[in-house]
Amino acid sequence: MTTRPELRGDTGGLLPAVAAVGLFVVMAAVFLGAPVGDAAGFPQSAEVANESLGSGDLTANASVQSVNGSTVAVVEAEGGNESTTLANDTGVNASVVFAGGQTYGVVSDSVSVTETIGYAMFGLTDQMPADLQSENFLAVFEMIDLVLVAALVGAITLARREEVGTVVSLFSTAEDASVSGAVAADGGTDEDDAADDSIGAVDSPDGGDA
Amino acid sequence: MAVPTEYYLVLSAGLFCIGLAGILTRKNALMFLMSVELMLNAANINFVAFSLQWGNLTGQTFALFTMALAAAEVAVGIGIILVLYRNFGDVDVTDAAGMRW
Repeated sequence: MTTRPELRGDTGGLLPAVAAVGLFVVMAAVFLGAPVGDAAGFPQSAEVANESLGSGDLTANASVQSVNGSTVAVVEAEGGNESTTLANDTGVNASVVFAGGQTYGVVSDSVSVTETIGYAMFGLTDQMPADLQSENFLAVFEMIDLVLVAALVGAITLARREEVGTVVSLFSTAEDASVSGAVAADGGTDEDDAADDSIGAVDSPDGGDA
Repeated sequence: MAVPTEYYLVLSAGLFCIGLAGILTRKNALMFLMSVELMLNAANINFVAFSLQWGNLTGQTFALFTMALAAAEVAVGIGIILVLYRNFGDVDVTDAAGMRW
């Protein structure tokens, strides 16, 4: 009695598998030799920068302003206003936050890959960040939606309970329900067999004759 | 340090060829279904890798649609396998050789 590992018996010859391995070797050689170049990559998502504006809760006196092409946090104090540059760009998502006894100017650059995929799927191209673009997939989304719904509705409409004796389906009538015999989806048993089945009224587990 | 795109392509080629070998050598319909799934996922790896290569999200979005399509395909495939089992008492794809039985 053998105890060593053996190849499965249901393989249809191993020559095709060798051909597949050969295909892999060819593909790997082509890919590793191809001049692909460096990846452009995605912008870093949710990059957050903190700037301390001072101790204590200054949120009532502080505001975020755009000055000369940059975003600054301005804190109003008795000795004059104090500005802290948060970003060298306008239109960034900046806010003033009080946390841990200090007030911070927080800039969160929310370039999110997942969000942009969502915008692309629903055709919201104007919402996409400028440095992370995608095609508009709204038409594709609707088409796949329609096809999947049609498949589901078709499956439910055509479904029958596959038991010998009664026909139970979405659009079955009283006449259908009274028909005895095997349903067509059991592989097409002969009329005689169907009659025998209905008399015997014993369902085989596989639903019909093999 | 990003992984070079070539490595993603080699991984994808390996996955594709494993799936191809499965389809060519097996007779079990369930193994067929799994192998087709491997080949589809190899295509998905390429979509995502080239998406990163060009810094454009079209490939990632397309990979999502491929996944939805693969799920629908498996649902249909399992239905076919159930009928195959009911009619032949087996899920060997070489049994169902005729157009009608």
